[in-house]
Amino acid sequence: MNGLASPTATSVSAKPRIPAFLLNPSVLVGGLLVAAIVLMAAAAPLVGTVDPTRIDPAMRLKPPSELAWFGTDLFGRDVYSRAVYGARSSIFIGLCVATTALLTGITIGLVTGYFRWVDAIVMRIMDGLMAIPTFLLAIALVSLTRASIATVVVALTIPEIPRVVRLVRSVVLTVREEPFVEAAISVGTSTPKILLRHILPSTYAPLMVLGTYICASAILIEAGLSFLGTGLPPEIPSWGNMISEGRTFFQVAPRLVFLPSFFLALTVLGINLLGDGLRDTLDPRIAKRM
Amino acid sequence: MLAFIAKRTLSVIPVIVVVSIVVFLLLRLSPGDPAVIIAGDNADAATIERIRSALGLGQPLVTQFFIWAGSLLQGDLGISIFSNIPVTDLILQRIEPTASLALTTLVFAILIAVPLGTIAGATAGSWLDRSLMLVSVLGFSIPVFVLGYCLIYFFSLQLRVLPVQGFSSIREGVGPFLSSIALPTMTLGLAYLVLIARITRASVLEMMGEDFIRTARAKGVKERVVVTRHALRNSAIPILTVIGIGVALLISGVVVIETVFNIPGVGRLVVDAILKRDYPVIQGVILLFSGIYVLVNLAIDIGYAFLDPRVRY
Amino acid sequence: MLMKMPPPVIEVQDLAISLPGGGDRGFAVDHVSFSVAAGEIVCVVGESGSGKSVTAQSIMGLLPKVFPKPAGRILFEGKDITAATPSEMRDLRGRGIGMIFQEPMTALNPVQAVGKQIDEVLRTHLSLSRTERFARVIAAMTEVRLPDPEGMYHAFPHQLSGGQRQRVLIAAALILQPRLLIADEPTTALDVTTQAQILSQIRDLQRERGMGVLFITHDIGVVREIADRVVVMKAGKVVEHGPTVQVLDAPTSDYTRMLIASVPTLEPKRSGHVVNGDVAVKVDTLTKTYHSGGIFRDRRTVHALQGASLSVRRGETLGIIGESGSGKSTLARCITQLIEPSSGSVTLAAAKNGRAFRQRIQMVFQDPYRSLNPRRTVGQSIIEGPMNFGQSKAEALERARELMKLVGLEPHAVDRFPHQFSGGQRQRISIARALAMEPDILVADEAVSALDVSVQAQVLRLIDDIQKRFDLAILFITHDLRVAAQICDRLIVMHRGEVVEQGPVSSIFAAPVHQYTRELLASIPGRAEHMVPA
Repeated sequence: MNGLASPTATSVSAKPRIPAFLLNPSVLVGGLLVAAIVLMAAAAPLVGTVDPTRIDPAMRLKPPSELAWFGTDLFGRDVYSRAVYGARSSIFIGLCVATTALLTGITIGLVTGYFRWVDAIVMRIMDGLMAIPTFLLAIALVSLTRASIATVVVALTIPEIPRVVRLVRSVVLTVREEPFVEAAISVGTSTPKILLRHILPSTYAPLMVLGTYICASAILIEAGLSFLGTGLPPEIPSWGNMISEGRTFFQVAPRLVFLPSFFLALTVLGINLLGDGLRDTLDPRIAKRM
Repeated sequence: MLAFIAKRTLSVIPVIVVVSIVVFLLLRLSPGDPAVIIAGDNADAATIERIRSALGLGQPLVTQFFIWAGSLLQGDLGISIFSNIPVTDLILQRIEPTASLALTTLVFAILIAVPLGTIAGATAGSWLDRSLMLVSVLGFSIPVFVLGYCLIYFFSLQLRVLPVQGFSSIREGVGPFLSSIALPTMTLGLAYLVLIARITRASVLEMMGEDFIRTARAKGVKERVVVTRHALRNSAIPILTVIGIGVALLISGVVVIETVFNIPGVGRLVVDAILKRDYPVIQGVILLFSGIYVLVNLAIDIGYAFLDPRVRY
Repeated sequence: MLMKMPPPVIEVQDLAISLPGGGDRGFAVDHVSFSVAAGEIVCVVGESGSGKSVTAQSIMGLLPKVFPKPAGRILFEGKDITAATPSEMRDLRGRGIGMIFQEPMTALNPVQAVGKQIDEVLRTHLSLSRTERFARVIAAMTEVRLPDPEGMYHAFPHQLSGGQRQRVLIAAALILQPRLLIADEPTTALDVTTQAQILSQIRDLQRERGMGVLFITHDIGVVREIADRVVVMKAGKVVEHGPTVQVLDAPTSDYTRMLIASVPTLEPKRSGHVVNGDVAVKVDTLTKTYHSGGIFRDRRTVHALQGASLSVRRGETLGIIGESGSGKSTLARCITQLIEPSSGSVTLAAAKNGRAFRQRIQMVFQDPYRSLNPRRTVGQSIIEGPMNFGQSKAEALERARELMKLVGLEPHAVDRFPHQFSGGQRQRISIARALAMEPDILVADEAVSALDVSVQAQVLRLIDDIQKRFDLAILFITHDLRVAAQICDRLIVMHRGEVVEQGPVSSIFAAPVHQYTRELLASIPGRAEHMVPA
């Protein structure tokens, strides 16, 4: 590529190859963990479980046996089955919250990037929302309504939106100054087209990473809410609910707390590893924006 | 400099206003009659009516807000519906354990995180760096209550060296205070610690690639001094920033931790209030925590000016 | 055996450094030997990727970790330092060898007072009292002619100009009287007038102290200005070395000849060029004022542009000359309506068949790496404009292929992405993108500044060629008078937002009227030899 070479394009053939991020060990390990847990959640009825909500007073607080691999809880429900089914609630909530927060955040972020006067107002509101610690805002929101999956999703989404808006906006503000955007302006491209064609694609990589973090954070906060008794209704098998119910018997039967805790930590670990790996391979500068 | 401080301080006002509007609207805009929500499912009409008038629900929304905000400015956070005690008094009664825990955690996390992150950043790729990164991703993934139970299981139930639960004030002696607060501090501190360590590492690592580091080396400066005097010193702003942002993590953690370790602090107060739908208490605590968060970050913002000459004007 | 000659200050013998990544990927520095004696300045000259900076860093023992350990020997005053311990090397740095770098903007610690940063050398190597150290720092700052040393001691880097920062770095590098100074492109990031001052300063200090200087540069003009001997490097190898006069005036290798030939001379190339086209664009007293600050700060007003007027005819190239902060880029961006001027007007000649402003005036940007969207194929970038104005995709793409050919690239390369092209090729693509709009006026904002000289010459030829072909009016913005001499008919010289002088290139070069223009011309490195064509 030095100056003496003929000015015809040196051919760097664009043959199909494995994207670099798939080869990152963090992405691999995290991805496999997440895949395993998603698979387990999807195939919950097939992995040696029984009805996770069946109450059997005769079987209360039984130690592990061949019938119940991790014993039974206070109501005689099978701990293993509940933990497996609990993956469904966590993953569903994580995905819902991440998707809704991202979509809402992108919309608000792009609109604020476009209309300067909206920007001032929206950013003040976002600053205000960011000032309320996420967990407290979520807890206050769920406590207003009767607990259900939908209200938990809404309550967890609202505090995450400002993070997405800020990220989108910071990308918009940076990319807006790039010479290739000026070049697009000077060939007469309209502002909405510039936003969608030249600026929006730059947000995909950081948003993908932020999405994984939101997903992990939503799963953690849902578990925290359920742990405090303000999250999902107690009959829904969820890891937070199980830990909450088990904590009274922690000293006699720590397994009631440890099994769901293990699943919970493993899931969040997988998602976090995936997110870190994506961040490092897609664009290390992303870290600075979050 | 003074102008900078004044400007920063004023910029906090809109944030506080938005926070109070959000906190105010939380209850008012919820689906259904706020008075019925607060009173619960089995309340009689008289109770609902009493709550309604206590909250001034009959008036227009804007009037309600100004009445509420007016008393807020006088330090009046309202009266607990459940116990009939002013919210301010309830919070004051409970503030000591929470403040103690927050301070010990802050000290614990920063004292370990900054040196650890600096060494990891300066020796990126070493075993220490790799293990720190591994521990940090674990630290983010374990929920505080899970970690709390793990530590209780190990230190209290197996080794029997620390009490399982409870809180002992520092006025009752330093020994009991430290042993009661050790596990909650470690539990609460881990995520905060790995957060700060990670940012310290990333920032020091980034600074190590800067041109001025090369200049310092060309002057013959010792590597240890290059790292501390140049790389770490230039990382002060990101580190301080994350310490400030991390306060949110601390606040969320406190709410859960106080339940795990049975500590009678503000966190427990708000959890109990939520279970009883005691709205004035919930609002009061959210305002308090948000206020602390905003003020800590304001202080840090102002601190920038002392740490970075480019911010001063 | 007669008198024994003292060994050179630094002698590099057969130095070889593999490219990072291991394996047989070749060498960054490929068995290079040269030496620097006390009291002489040796320039290592080469284009990017020649291995000249890597060589300098390996002498200092500051090679980035990605490189493997170098092979060969490096002798400092006769002693092999490749075998030195880390602490011996540390002691040598600052005391025996001083080094200055390319980017004075980033080479200083932004949060430490500059005096302290000079003082750090003393603190590291000597044990002196605080007052003694302060006195020596002030003396060193005075020696490099920093104004008000005692006041400036406590200043922070961002409060200093680029030239002042480079002086601080020189003071720090030389405070312990090292026998060797390594200067790695120390003036590349500076304006040409500042460059001239720094070069003469390095020369003066070198003579006073009789130290050796190893000077790394890509600029043949700088070599001519300062060097006693020259080492020409290309792709890690030494292609030629010898006394400056010999290498520059009678080069033996083709590469050196090409390098010298690519350096634009100050001889105006267009003195015989007759411009008789219609006026394409007329700019009348354009101003741009920025306000900053708010209620708590004093409002600061920056007059970026103070009443610039100009006009350009079709077929004519008007050069806009100025250093950083002169307002030349602001002028370009006001003319192309990328920013709105505070007052004044830009008038284009009457449009034929109602073509829009954006179709009639096009721009080529400075940074070839950032002016193309990395996510879009170059074809998509080229057809974006025409499609905005209603051309069909097929038609636009067909035209894009023709244009690629026109600018010297393969037509089918439209499907590739920007990262698959070199800097010079990208600049050709940017030109194709501008031409796709069939403009009347082309604004080139430092369009060749980021390119190596040989590539620069090719792109200049292309611009010259397309101007003739499309009868373009060109506004050519540059800081480099030598480049301007190649392509411009007339010049406008800008200084601090004002037009200080304008006229045909030949008359400005022959008889500059304004003091600043004279200074600018006098600062061009290696000028004397070029003003008198052989």
